[in-house]
Order: sequence, then structure tokens, then C-alpha cells
Amino acid sequence: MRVNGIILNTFREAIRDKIFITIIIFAVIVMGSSKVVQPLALGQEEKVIKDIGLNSITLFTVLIAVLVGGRLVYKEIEKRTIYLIISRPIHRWQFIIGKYFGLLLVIFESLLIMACVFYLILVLLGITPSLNLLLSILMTFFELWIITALAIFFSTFSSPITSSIFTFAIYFLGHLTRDFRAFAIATKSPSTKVIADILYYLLPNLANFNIKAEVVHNIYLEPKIFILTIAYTVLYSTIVLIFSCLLFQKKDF
Amino acid sequence: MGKVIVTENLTKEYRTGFKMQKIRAIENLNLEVEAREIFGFLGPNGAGKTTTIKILVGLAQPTSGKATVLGKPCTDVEIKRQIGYLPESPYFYEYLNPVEYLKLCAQLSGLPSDDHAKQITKLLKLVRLDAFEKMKIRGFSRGMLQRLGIAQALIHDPELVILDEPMGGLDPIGRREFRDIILNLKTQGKTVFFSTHILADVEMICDRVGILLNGKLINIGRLDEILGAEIETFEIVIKNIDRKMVKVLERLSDKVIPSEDKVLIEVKTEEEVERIMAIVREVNAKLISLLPRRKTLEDHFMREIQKERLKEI
Repeated sequence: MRVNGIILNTFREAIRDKIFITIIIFAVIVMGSSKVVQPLALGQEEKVIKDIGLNSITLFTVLIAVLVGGRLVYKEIEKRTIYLIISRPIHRWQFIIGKYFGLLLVIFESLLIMACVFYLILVLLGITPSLNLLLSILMTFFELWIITALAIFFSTFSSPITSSIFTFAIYFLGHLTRDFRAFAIATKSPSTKVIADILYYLLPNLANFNIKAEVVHNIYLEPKIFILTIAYTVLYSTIVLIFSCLLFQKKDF
Repeated sequence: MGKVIVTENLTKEYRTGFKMQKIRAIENLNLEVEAREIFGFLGPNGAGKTTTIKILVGLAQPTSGKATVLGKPCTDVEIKRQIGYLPESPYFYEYLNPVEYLKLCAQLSGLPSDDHAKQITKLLKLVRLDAFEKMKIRGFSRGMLQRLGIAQALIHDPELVILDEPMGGLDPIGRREFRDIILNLKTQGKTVFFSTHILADVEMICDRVGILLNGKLINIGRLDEILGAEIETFEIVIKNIDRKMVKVLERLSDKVIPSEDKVLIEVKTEEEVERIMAIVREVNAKLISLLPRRKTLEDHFMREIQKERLKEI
């Protein structure tokens, strides 16, 4: 399949990019330094270290999705490398899909590296690493499907800085959607209620992907949660990608 | 096979600036390019050559009118399998080496993977980049990039090769090699459509040309039809002639240029040539050369542009 060429090239481009390598190094350093907070943990070392590890993995992979994804399409247009891709027998939507899955491959690889480092640190610190932690990392991966789709969407029409700001903003607001819902119910102003409702339905509900507390405290999670989250991820990402393809389809280079 | 490129009333408008002002890049362009010909697409900067090419290869969409390539609409993705395209000042993925890049191009063009290695080796040799196959494109000179550009355009052995200003950035040797590649494509039965403003290249290799100005096609045809076979002037160079005789020659021609020991005379008719020759024989001067000069493409091009500009005034 011709999309494979774009996926592979996007992967190759990202892993040869200095931003990617810098973020990975930073992530490893932050996870490694979790030992420093041990004296402050007051007997909760294990939980604190796990918490720092999981949050670092999420933060740095989100950074990769936003910073690398935000310039993925724009850079091709600005540097005119896209001329020699779009002029070949591939559909424009194949280009967008190729870029998307290429970046997801990069994110998957980053998660794999960070998860291995995280488990290694836990073993070195004498903490038994439970498989449950992987569930949280897996949920982060699904969350990144949505973040990556949004980064690519913005990258089809705006500069890398603007794309990154928009994607970051949605990432943060996406974790507050439940609050928007609560606000919509509590408010007495009809216009505020409409705005809060729009934000609730429009923004991705990213809080659903955060199971770190449950995992760290070994709380049982129903399989239904995972199935619904995956379905939500696929649906939301597909809609964002369809809009990206539609915008890209009409573009003149 | 008949017509390879056909455009009918092709028009492209762009909106630009804060006020979204409408700019017409090409206007009612009617163009036909025959199979197996080398077609030169001429015009000054901003004439609309690149816009036309971008529509043909699917990088831009026409505002109105239509364009077909090999009998299919240029919006048909599958037809691009038969098109090789080299943009003006091409840009590549700098983190790749030429082999990796050509492999990507071959894959995207739908070339069977078994043929990749053979085709890449052949093309790198053709464009003299075989010694640099491990070097990252980042380190390439402008000429090397242009040569890689032609290699990627030919990777899938297309029927039609569209080149936008292909001679830009090439030294005289590079230009010569490029001309040979284009002529070789013609002998292989391919059609070549290329835009340029280097008229010497067009005169040397093109079967037909189209001249574009301000988005309008102002002339199209075979070079000999456009330029005519007629001789415009004769240039005569003579030696061993004294100053008095130079004065006589000046009465016969408007253009007499004496240098150290020679005189160059330009006349328009054969009768004038005869008269000059009679004087040469009479004063025992020596004839160095007698050259008939035909209208060059440059002369024609400049006159056409002048005419159009006068119309605008």
C-alpha cells in the first residue's frame, strides 16, 4: 500500500528530528530523578515514584504529539517537499492518514522506550512493577490518538506555533470537560449553559483516559471502561481526521 | 496516441492580501501538446507557467475550464502514474540519502518493489549521482539537487515528463547533460513539457513552443512556423579596407562597425550584399565571413512581449 511509504517516512523523519530525541532524553532524566523525592514521600515512596513515572510518560509523549505533530503537515507545505508527494498517484487523504499513523508509530515507540525505562527504574529501586501500570500507559496511548489527530488537523492550515498552542489548549480543556458539564447544570444563565454544553460536547473528554490514580492505588477497573474509551477514541479521531482531509483536499499549493 | 495534454479555457484565480483581491494567474488557456514531442512553455516570470503546471500535476485546482492529461482529467489520481514532474527549485527530505528518497518516490508511484533497486541504480548513474548514494541530501549542491530532481521524475518510467524551469541552477555542462536526457526521452517515445525562460535551450531541443504572457497564450506553434525561414539580415566581415571606403560602405548600410583591421557590415537584402561584394572586389579587400541571420526566438519573444505591453497601454 502506498500509504505505507508515507507512514515509514514520517516515522523516519520524526526519529531523526532533534526535538524527538531531546524529549526522550528529558523523559528518561525526569523518571530517573524520581528517587530524589523519596525523602519527601513520607512512606509513600512506591506510589510517588509510580505517579511521577506515569505522569512523565504522559507529559512527554503529549509533548511529542503536539510539537512534532503540529509541524508535520505545515513543514511539508512550507518546505515544498509536498510537491513531489501530492504529484504522485496518491490521494490527498492518504497523505494525511499516512502522516497520522506515522506519528502514532513514533508515539508508540516512545511509549515503549519510556515504559521500559520506567520498569527498569522500578526494579532498580526494589519496587515490584505490576502489569496494571501498563494499562495506564495504554490509556495514554489512546488519548494520544486524539491529540495527534488534533495536532494534524491544526497543522493543515496553521503554523507550527499556532497548531501547538491550539492543541495544548484543547488538551488542557479536554481534561476539564466534566467540570464544564457540572457548570452547565449549575449555572442559571441560559447563554453560559449553552456555551458550557457546546464545550462539553465539542472538546474531547480526556479525563476518561486518566486512570493513573486507580492503577497506582491498585483499584479494580471494569473492562467496560476500556472498551468504551477505545470506541470513543476511534470515533473522535476519525471525525477529526475527516475534517483534516476535507480541509486538505481543497488546498492549492 | 494523439494529444497528451489538452486544456480548454483553463482559468485560475487566486485571492491574495488582506482585502482578498482577485488575481488571475491564467486566463482561458487553450493548449494542446502532441504525443512524443518536446514542448517548450515560455514566458517571463509571473506569466502563469508554474500555475498551469501545478494544475496539470494536481497541486492546484482550476477556477474554471478543464485540463486533461493522456485523455483523463488531471484530477484523476491514477493518471499521475504516467506523469513525471520536476518542480522549480525542488525540495527534498534532507534527512534521507538519494537511494532512500528514490525508493520512497518509487513506492508512492506504484512501481513494483522488485524493480526498485534496478531502477534506482540506473537513474543515479544517468544523473551522475551514483558516487553520492550514501550522502544525505542535506549536503547536496544546487546542481546535485536538480539532478536528483530529474531522477525522481523518471523513477516510474512515465509517459509524460513535466519539468518546471529544469535548467535553473545548472552549470553549462549540467545544462548540456540535461538537454541530452530530454532528447533521449523523446527517442524513447516520451512526451516532454517544460517551462523555461532560457530561450537558447528551447531553440536547441523543442519541437513546438507556446508563449504565455500575463496568463494568456499569445503564440503557439512549431519553431520554424513562429520564427519563419526567412533571412532577416546578412552580416559581412571584411578586412584590408581603408577609411575612405568605410565612408562609402556607411552610405550603403545603417550598421557599419569598424574595428582594428576589420569592418562588420549588416545589410537586409541580397542586392545590398551584391553591392558590398562588388566594392570588396574593386578595392581588393578580403572577405572574412558572410553570414545570413534568421530571426531568433529571443527576437520573436521580445517583440511579442513588446506588442502585448503596447496593447495594454
